[in-house]
Amino acid sequence: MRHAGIDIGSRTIECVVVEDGAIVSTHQTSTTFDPMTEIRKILRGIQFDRIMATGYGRNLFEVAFEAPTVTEIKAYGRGVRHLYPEASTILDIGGQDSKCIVMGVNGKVQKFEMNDRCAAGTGKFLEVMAEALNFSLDEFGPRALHAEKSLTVNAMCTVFAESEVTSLVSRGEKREDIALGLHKAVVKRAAGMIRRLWAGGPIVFAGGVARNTCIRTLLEEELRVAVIVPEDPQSVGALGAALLLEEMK
Amino acid sequence: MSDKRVQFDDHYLGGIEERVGRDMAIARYEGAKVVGVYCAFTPKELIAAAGAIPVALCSGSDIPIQLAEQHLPRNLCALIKSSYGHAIAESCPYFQATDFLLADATCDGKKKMFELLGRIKPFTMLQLPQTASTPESFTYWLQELYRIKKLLEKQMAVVITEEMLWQQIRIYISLRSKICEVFALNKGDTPLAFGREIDVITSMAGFECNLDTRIDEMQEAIDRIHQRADDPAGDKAIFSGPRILLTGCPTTNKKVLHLIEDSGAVVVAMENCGSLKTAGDRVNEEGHPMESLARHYLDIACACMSPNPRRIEILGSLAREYRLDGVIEMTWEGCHTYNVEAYQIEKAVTEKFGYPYLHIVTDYSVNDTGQLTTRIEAFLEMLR
Repeated sequence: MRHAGIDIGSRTIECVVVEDGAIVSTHQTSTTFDPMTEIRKILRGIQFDRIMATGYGRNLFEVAFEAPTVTEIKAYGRGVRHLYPEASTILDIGGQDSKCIVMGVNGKVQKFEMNDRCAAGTGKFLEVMAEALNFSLDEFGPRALHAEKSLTVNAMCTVFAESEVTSLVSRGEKREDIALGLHKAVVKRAAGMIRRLWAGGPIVFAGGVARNTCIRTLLEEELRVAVIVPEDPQSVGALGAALLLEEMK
Repeated sequence: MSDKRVQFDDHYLGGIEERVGRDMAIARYEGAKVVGVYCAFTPKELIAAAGAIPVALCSGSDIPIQLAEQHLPRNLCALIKSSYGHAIAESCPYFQATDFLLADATCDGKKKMFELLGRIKPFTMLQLPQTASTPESFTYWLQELYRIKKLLEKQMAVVITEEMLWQQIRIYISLRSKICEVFALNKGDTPLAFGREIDVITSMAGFECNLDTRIDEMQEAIDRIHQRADDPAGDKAIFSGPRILLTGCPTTNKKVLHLIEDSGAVVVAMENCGSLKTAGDRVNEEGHPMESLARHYLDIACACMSPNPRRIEILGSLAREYRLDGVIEMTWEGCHTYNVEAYQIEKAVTEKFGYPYLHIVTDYSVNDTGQLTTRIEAFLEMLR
């Protein structure tokens, strides 16, 4: 039997199909302003028997497809346990959320922290800042790593940070240096969240922001610990949902 | 949550509020005055003994907040802003009906807001000590209550006798016992009512007049819930979710209470103002009534008191009595006292009592519903 997990996030939708605990296929698309259409598109041509939804759009999916749902916190926990059975601490930074999840020895979620309503320090923040400095999202992290000096950006609110960036630009600062300052601000916030829960050990970094090499490098420096990024960091939640569904009686 | 599962809802409460409103109008016609109160430290027995009608004015509505922010800082707690906004907008019938205010100086935000309210309504502040743990604070508080007693006697042109006080003390004891009885419906193996139902059933529904009728209404609700539980056709599975104790700031606004139960849990007990925090203790019926009242009210386990060890004691005994699966603490943004105290509460709940704990900091707006739902659902997943 094939089990699918679909993670409907604020920016992207991932779908992972598993069979007997092994990944069969992985699919991804953008969420856009019309997630239902995108969901139907991504499901077209995927073979599965049952499906479970996670992520922000899970309740939308639950109603439309009469499918079970699970929070992305539990789903990421399960997905990471599949990929790195020894890991106990997970950082997930997505389009509008950041979460730190700590797993117990039984493989269940033990503690978690999550940002509140504000999307400060998430993918959305980096996206807006990249645009403000005229970087593409893909080059934002690598270029920040080429900074010559580190500037301090204090604001974490996207709106305030944008005006801080504007004033740094008008002071004649190099955009790579400003970019590094912005990345450091995100890492400071994420590290604070991790430290509140963390019992030590390596950290698995998932979600879209895990693709940003600068964030990963800075996190390793800040916490002095190995930060592991899965090969496909955005599909961990969908994978977890598929595995949880397979285990459901 | 489908509405038919929730028997005691806003519609039910609306009916009670109408009845209470009518009773108040009659009493007022006969000369009674309405005294507006805010926090739980003001002895309602004193007000009632003077022949006046107490009414709690803390608001849970998001609507007046914008107006309140003309005068109050944005980062003040929603409860204070909402209550003030209603007052200046003249949009609260309870405030409109109030003749004068008796406001207890609890947290800094409230007492400074009261000063501004004093421009609109005649108002007296009850100066509360900052601790309940010294004999001096008790003596001071007793003197303060004597001052308020004198003031009420003057306002209402009565002399409050000991007998009048004992009579009101007994009525309020019956009321609080009845509230505890309603909560006790959820002490058994299977809870019998949703927290949102208990919250509605035990609500004061506005003006505190004809409390005997209000007590009867609560008893009637208890009977109806027993009947519902005994109905063989009833769906027992709806109460099979995790059993949650809700603690923290007053649940004036119901969004978190509702989100918890919409996510499949049952709020079996509440340690908040108006519920088991304030209804759980019994006024001592021996000695002098003023001293009994002073002791009872000074002992309220509010975070504005320093230290506040009684709150942890209450939580410990509720945890045992209500067979909890987890504790959710809800505090309002900008409520420094409860937000700071949350650290000690988390330690006590997780380490001393051994229950999972989730802290939610929010306000009255609905724009964090998505995040809150995910956090609450993930917490409930941990408990299952």
